Amino acid sequence: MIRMVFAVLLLGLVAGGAGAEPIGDCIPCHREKTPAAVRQWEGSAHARAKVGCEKCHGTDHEKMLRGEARVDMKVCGPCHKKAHDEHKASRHGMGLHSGWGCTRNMPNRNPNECGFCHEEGTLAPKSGVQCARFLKQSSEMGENGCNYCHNVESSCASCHTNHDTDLKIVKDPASCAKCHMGPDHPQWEMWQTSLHGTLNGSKGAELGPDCQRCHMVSGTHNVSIGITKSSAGIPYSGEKFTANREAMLKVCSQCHAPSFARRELTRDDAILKQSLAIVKEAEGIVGDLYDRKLLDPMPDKRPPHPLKGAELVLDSQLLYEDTSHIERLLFKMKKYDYARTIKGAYHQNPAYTHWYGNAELKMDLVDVKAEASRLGSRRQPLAQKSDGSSSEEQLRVLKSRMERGGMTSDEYAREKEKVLKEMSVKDAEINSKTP
Amino acid sequence: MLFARTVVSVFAAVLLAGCASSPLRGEPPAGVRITKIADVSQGATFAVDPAGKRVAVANPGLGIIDLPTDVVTAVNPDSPEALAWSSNGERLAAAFCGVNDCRVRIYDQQGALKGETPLPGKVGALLWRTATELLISVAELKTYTFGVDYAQKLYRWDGVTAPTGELLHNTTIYGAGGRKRAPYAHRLFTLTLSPYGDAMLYSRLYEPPEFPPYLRVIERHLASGVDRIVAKTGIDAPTAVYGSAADTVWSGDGVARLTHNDIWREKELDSLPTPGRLLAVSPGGRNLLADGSLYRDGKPLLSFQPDVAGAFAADGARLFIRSGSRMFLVEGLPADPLPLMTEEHRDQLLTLRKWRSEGLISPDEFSRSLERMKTP
Repeated sequence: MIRMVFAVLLLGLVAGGAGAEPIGDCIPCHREKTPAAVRQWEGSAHARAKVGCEKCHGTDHEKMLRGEARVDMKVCGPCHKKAHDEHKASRHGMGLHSGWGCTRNMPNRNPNECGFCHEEGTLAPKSGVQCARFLKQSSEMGENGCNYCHNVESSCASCHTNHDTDLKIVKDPASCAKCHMGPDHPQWEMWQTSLHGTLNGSKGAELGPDCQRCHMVSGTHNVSIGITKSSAGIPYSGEKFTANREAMLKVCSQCHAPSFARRELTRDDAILKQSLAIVKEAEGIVGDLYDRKLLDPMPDKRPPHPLKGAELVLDSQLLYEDTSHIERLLFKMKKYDYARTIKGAYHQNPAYTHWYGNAELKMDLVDVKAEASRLGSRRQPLAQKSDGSSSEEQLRVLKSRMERGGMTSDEYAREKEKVLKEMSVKDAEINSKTP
Repeated sequence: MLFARTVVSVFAAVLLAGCASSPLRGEPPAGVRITKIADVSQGATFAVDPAGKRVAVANPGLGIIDLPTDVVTAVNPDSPEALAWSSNGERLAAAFCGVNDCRVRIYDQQGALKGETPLPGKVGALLWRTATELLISVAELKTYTFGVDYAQKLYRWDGVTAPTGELLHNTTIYGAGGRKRAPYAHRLFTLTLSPYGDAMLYSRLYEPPEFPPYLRVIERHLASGVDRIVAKTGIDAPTAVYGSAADTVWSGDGVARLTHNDIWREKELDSLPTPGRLLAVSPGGRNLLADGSLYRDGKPLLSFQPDVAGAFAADGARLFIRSGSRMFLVEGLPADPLPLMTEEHRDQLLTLRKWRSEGLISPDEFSRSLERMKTP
């Protein structure tokens, strides 16, 4: 009998050791060292499923102490495959590929960490997504000011927290607010003060849909479903637009008549188009100044752009530092004003759409034009002779515009032909008057 | 019998002497006259002024031959490495070189010294860009254990202030054969001015370690400073010359083939079965002297001894040649001056050529603009 009991106990121990995770070693010490973390885990679904510390953190304690064993998507993915795949397909999954942050200037840096972001033997980031603004920052700013949000790409804990897996956390729109706020993407602020948000405050998500209700339908981690524009605010076209619009209309139609929802979103599309035209007008002004070598300073007279060197950069890699004043105005227009206008529209917040967005956008356009006028007034007036000097400048401007992608090759050929024909006409007139 | 033999011997000697003294092979065509100008040093450098009235040549030592009066003015006892008359014929530039340095001097028409400057390295060629600006190609050599560093520099000199230099190209000449060649490598650094005076051709030496050396002919637009590769030649044919309208270039492989290329449309227009070692072309580009053969529009006209070096006068109808140790004047050739144009047209043409060199207009746009220029 005693033998049988002993055998059963032994079997139990062996069974426990073989089937369950070895939990015991970490807890006693960490209950003392990091008690809150232990408590959070103990109350979590992971604990209930016997997913212990070693399953996520591994067993190399020295590595953990060096900060090299953080838990990211690669750890979570094998068990949470659906969520992992949905997340990777969304724009959350396209963050900076910067889960660790760039530690290049930090003390006691482990050189092996470089491989997380960089190709062997080069400073080029591995990720297809590179951000010039990130590259301009110190590693400390990059970590705290960029990666704390953008590590959503690889860190599930970014939304889910580290040890407490309570879904209540991630079902609360406040969990989105950590990142989706601020001057460039104030979705939290604009949602909170929109009709949806205020109703949510009064009566909950059933009446006032929250972020998750619209953007994570049925708990999907693909937060890009229903979005009809890129991260830079450029609308999709064709099938991609249609498919995403239909997906969003399906969401809206849970509460609203489809025709109403379609009308509203179509009006928002129009606001986007109108606002984008204002941005493009400003871009054209800045590009023209560059073509005429009137930016102050010109790109080749200031620190090089981290991705493009001594070129003018007006796309989503636009910087807010080491640029000319007019480019800084353009940055605010694109990154703040335009973003607030269109996101305010799509989030049904009139104040953001109009005053924080549209009005600022237009006022900044006034400033851009004023600055352009000031810079333009510096240019020496050209003698209007037929020595070709004004024609030459026109040709140089056209060439510059062509090289920076500001016109097609057909447009370039047409404009050049105009300049050359005009030059011939002027010369013919002068020659005909010459005795 | 003895008398007859003597007469025959004398006659034969005269005949032979007469045959040996002519640079021409065969009879000249009707209207073409060849006159000996002077005896000169074997293979001497020479330069003809634009009007074709004065010839500067080493005979030995530098002398200026005034053709209308036959007066020879001795200018310098040393033989020059390079010579060039200014475009207005008022100044003569001459380079005198030692082992590793040179002195460039400017004289007036009477041989009086007007300016002088030392330069490190050896002068390859002299070229007057304008009546007052002289371009000087200089090869600077530095010998190392692994080879010889060969730097090609272009100096600009106004005859008054210190010349300013610019490095155009740099390469290393390897091996024992290279070391033997290196002291003469400056002769590969030739300069040719375009008929419109706005661009020049120069040659860059390339010495890939595992392959034979070669030259690339570069056209540099002098106002814009833009360089373009227009031909590849053999090191035995360092000189390239402009063809018609200065949009084409003749260059040889140094072995057996001289090609005529449209340098803007990058296509071969013509070729001649000659290595292209000694070239000269008339201002209009239609008369070409290549390795002793004179061509008009690509067709053979006259044949000289193959060692003949020549230079055309501005009218293209007179050709000055040096054959061995003698200089001759060939007259009566079909004229080929630079086409006449008004000053406005010339300015327009130069502007269009500058724009084309900078890529502001394409070759087709250039051609269309020229057509519009010609058709009021």
